[in-house]
Amino acid sequence: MTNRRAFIHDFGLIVVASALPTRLFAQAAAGEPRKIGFLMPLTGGAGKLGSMMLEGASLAVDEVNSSGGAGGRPVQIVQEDSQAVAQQGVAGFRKLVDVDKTAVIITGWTAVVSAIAPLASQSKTMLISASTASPAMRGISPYFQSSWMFDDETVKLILPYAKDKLGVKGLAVLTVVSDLGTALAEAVKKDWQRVGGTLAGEEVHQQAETNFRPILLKLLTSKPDAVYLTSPIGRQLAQVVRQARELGYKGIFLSYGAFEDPEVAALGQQADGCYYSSPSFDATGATGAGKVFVDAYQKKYGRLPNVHQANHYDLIYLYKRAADALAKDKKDVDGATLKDYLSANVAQYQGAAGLYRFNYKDGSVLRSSIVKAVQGGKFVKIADLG
Amino acid sequence: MEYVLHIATIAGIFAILALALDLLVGYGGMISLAAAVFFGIGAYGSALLTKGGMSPTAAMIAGMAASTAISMLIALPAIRVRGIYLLIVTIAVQVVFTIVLQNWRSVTGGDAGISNIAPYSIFGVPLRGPLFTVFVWVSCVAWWGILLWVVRSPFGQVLQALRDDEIGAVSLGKDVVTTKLVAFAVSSAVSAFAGALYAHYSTYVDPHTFNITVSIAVLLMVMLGGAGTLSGAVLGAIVLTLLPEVLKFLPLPPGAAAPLRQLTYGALLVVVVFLRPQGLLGRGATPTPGG
Amino acid sequence: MEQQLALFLNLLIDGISTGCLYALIAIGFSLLWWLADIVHLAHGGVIIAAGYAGHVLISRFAAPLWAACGVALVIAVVLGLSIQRGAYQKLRSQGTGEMGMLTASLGVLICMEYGLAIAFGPEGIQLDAGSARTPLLAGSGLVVDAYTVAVIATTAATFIALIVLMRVTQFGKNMRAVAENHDLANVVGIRVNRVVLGASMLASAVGVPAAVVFLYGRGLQPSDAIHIVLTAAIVAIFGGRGSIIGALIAGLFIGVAESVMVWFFDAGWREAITFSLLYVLLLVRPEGLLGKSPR
Repeated sequence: MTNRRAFIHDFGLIVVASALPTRLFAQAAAGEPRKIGFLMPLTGGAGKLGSMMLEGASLAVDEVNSSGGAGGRPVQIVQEDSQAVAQQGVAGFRKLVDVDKTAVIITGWTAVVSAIAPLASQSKTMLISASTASPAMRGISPYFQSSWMFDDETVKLILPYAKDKLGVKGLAVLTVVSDLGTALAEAVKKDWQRVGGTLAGEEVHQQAETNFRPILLKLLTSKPDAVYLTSPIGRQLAQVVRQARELGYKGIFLSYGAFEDPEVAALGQQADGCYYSSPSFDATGATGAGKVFVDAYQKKYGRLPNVHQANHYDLIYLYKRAADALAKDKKDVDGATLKDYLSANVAQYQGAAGLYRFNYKDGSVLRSSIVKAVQGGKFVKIADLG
Repeated sequence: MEYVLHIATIAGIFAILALALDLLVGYGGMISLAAAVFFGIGAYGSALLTKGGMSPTAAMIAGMAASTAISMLIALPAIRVRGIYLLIVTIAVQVVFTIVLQNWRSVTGGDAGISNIAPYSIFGVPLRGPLFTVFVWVSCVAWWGILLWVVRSPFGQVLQALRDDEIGAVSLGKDVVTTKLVAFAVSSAVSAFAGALYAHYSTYVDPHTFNITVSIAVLLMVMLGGAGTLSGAVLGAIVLTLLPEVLKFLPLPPGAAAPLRQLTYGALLVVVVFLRPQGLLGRGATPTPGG
Repeated sequence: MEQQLALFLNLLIDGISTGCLYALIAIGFSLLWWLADIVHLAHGGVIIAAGYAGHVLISRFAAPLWAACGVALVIAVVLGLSIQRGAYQKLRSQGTGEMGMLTASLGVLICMEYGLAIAFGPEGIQLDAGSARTPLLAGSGLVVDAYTVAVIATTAATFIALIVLMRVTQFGKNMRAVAENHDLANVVGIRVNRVVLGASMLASAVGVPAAVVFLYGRGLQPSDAIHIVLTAAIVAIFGGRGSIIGALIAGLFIGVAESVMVWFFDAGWREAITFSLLYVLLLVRPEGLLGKSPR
């Protein structure tokens, strides 16, 4: 869907702009904005997480717009609330593509991505995500690219660490009934066996569960050294940890990135002993590009950012990189050109949240990872994982 | 344009669902919050059977048959209980249905659902885009006509007599049991038809699309439009499909936008009940179902 | 075997605690159902609002528990009364039928749920019971803490108070008369509307202890509203129409069943089993455990 008038307008702008000294160009970008869709849960159980991610992206958009824009034009985020369910995801997608004419959409959550991926393939809309972790999304569409590691890979990172460095022998697994939870539990059990640990038990819970006490009572009778939690919702993880501590459990909790949530931090002392693998973003000990981001975020919002905000900040800058290059080559920035550019030129990317190694063949990514723990209400880096 | 077609198609599918529920609730006086169960049976039935090689029409009919069979689970208690008791029975069936969909992973695919469902086709000709939207609305009008004939038939008269005065109807020798069973059978079959259409349209089904929230929405469509009028059900479906979409275009502060929309939705329901309790197209005071 | 016995007893204790909570949310709902045939779906919203009120006082103003409960009580009663007078009674006098009332109640519930979400955010609230959670019988393998004892004691006190109210006071007698037969009560000179208003105040008040238990136990979020009132309705039906003791027994039964079932079944199927039991009950004995014949 080429808009010739806009194209010529951009072309003209760039010609003029390249003739000017760079100093003069460092002002707010002008012209018709480039729209980026943001199809995420903004209400409902996952609403808080989606809103947090929006904060990271918004900060990046502000910065980008005050320093020349992406490909010479300002960037504008168009939000649609997916509520993390397929039906809303599809309606939101339709509106973003047909009405708002967005070429790229930041999205996430398995139910939504499963439903819109085939539609995105048809309309050639690029879907980028830092919030989809289910291994079932591998290769779902050539137009889907994740910047968050699929969980079957993250799982393999923390388990050897737990066995060797934390001295865990018996591991219990608390599986959430969902596509993600089951895939994750399988990966955990298989890999735990591979590193030579014993499985102390497994219990299952529904997605909307808030009372874990009976399930925990049963799970804890086998006295595990650690419990692996599969839920992706920070609030739910906080519930489990709190209730387990109230029941007298003094052992370790293991998980993946979902632990990094303000609700878990708010548990205070009860959250000591929660370890998780995470992309190498550490708000308290950030350096380089990470520190620039942390400072800017703290200035705007008055608190420390977490890995989710960092991820979405990086997504916007990734887009900018591609848009700048495409505009320089006088190409349109749409789903297909973005996809082609990224696959050909951005095998690796260094962002505020660490190093990304993209695999465009199946939409997956490998991230430099670290072990973090919750200590004194903060998320602290413990060790590198590679 | 695609966006408009999308809304039109969804409205049409829900209009069929609402028509089916109106037969039970408006004409039969039997409150049900299990509309999504039969919607879901039709949808999952089509998804599974067409993936297994059956033609979409055959799969649709199979889904409707399965739906009728399962509807007996509600129909049988409905013979004995009514009002809030029947409501709870329907809720129980609805909740168990959602749990089965989520946990019976080997058949239903669990939470991930079933994706990549082929578009609906007749005699091998796939119906896509505007053609499918037309098909949906033609079906809707067809079912409207059929149900109109049903409620005007002797069966329909007995059904409404049961709604208004069950004891009186029984004393006149009317067959309560068969009437109720048939009403549930017809309602669930039509709902399953809508489900099949939905599966082929969205190409993806998952448990969340067929949970109690959807059942509540369909009941509200019937109530809003006017229970016991059939045309009210269709109007209610159109209004309640359009409403959230229209509200999306209002300039609201981000963050508060989404819950504010839902709140407006709730407020509108209350306002309608106050200003026009018989619904938009209903006539006079609503009959009191359950006697 | 000792370990298994301990697990069973712990599940039982946890079940009783949950059951008390269920009984508390159910009795408020039941009262309005018995007296005025009102399916008070908005009751869930009232309970959550009370919870938020208490939370604000405790976390933002560092108020002591009794003060927070007092404010929550006032807010709950005011809300319950407004809904009763402003919605139900108005609609009844307009001649609105059963389904219109249901729709209106649902509409009010949705407004309350999202109103709270806008004011406080959707993520929910939780308070820490702190030292009340330390096990009392440490070393025995049994998990009993001061919190559990407090929950059971509060529930017992509430139900005893309700029963006394119903038996002994004039207001209670009036309520029973209205529940029995509106028209007859009118004839005898009882101001039916007044009694129903009083009952709705009572219903809201009884929801406050439940809100507090939620707050310290599993937390509250606006989206819990419909689930809470659904549980209340199920317990109410299970217990039977018109029986306070029935509601208590039903609540305990369902709470214990949910908890102990974990011993036998995968947690995933638990809810399905509860609802299936309910279904069977409604087929076999629709009047519930201790109720009179269904209307």
